Amino acid sequence: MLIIQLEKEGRFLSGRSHAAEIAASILSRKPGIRAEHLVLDFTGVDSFAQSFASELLRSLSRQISNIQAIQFRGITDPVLAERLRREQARMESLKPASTPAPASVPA
Amino acid sequence: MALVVTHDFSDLAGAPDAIRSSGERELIIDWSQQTYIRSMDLVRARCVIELAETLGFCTEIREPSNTHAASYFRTMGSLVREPNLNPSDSYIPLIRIQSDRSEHIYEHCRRVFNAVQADTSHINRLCDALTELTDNIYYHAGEQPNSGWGYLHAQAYPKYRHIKFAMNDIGVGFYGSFERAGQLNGRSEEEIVRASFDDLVSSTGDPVRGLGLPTVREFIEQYRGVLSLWTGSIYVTLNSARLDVVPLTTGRAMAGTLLELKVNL
Repeated sequence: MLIIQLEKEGRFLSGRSHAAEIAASILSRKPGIRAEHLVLDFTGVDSFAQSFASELLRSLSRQISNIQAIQFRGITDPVLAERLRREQARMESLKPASTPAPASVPA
Repeated sequence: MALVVTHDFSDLAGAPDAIRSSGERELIIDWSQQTYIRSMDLVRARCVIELAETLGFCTEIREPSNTHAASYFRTMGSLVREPNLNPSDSYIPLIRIQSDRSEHIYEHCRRVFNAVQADTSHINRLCDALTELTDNIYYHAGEQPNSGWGYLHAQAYPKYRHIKFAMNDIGVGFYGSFERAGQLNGRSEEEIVRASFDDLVSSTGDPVRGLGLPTVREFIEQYRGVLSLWTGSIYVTLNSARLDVVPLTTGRAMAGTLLELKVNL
């Protein structure tokens, strides 16, 4: 399990460039990490911009499939929780359509 | 002969174009007759001065002769070379926007808002909105994406329970940003500006961009703020009830974008 304490990045998180740097740092520490093994801990973070959340998850989703399985901790503000949920859903919707399953053979 | 820019709104709006096309090499910001100065005047004038100096102009600032305006002018620590900064918590001094990082703006907001005892959630949501606006300047206002610059200033009015934020850039404007990205799709400037307040509409065509102005709109709806924005030949007002996008009637077009966000405390 990799726990990323975002408080180290500041108590207000902004900027797509900053988000992309954090994502790159995560991916370089644990190449090939699976979403269910990643925890983003926002304890001590007062707020973050929607675009920050967007870029963080987008950058992670370039190498991590199933972005909805990433866990978030330390979020007490419902607005921020909704932001992350919204961005997770958006990333999911942007994924290329999966290859259709082969048609079943009629019995 | 020097190029003289007064406090007149049309004068300030058209100043960047006048500087670029002028054969002069001296710029005078003449506010000597001015009896009041707003945050939006300061950010606009600061951008105009920086542009002029970048192009090799000598600049001169004539302070207001009105005692109150002159005092405000100096206290704001803005255009004068040696500002008379005081420790007041009622304002955010001029900040140059030059990246998409806004942590320092957040700290300034906490200082000012704590002084007027605003609640934490209000500060956080405001800063979410402000950072989207500064991000827009950095991303869109430059010759190339991620090269824009501008200025921010804010003044709190505790007696009236509001604070006014102003931001300005002298970049390509909304229309210019969509135009260079080939995203106009036959739309007028008015249509482009109006669409920019919708979710996920961006000149970049990137499906995860276009979150900035919708965030500002959400903030305004929740906290009953008022946004006034001038860009190109368009004037925008946004409050919790409606968005109005109309042609600018002040004569000269606004080179770049100027905005004022009034936030109730």
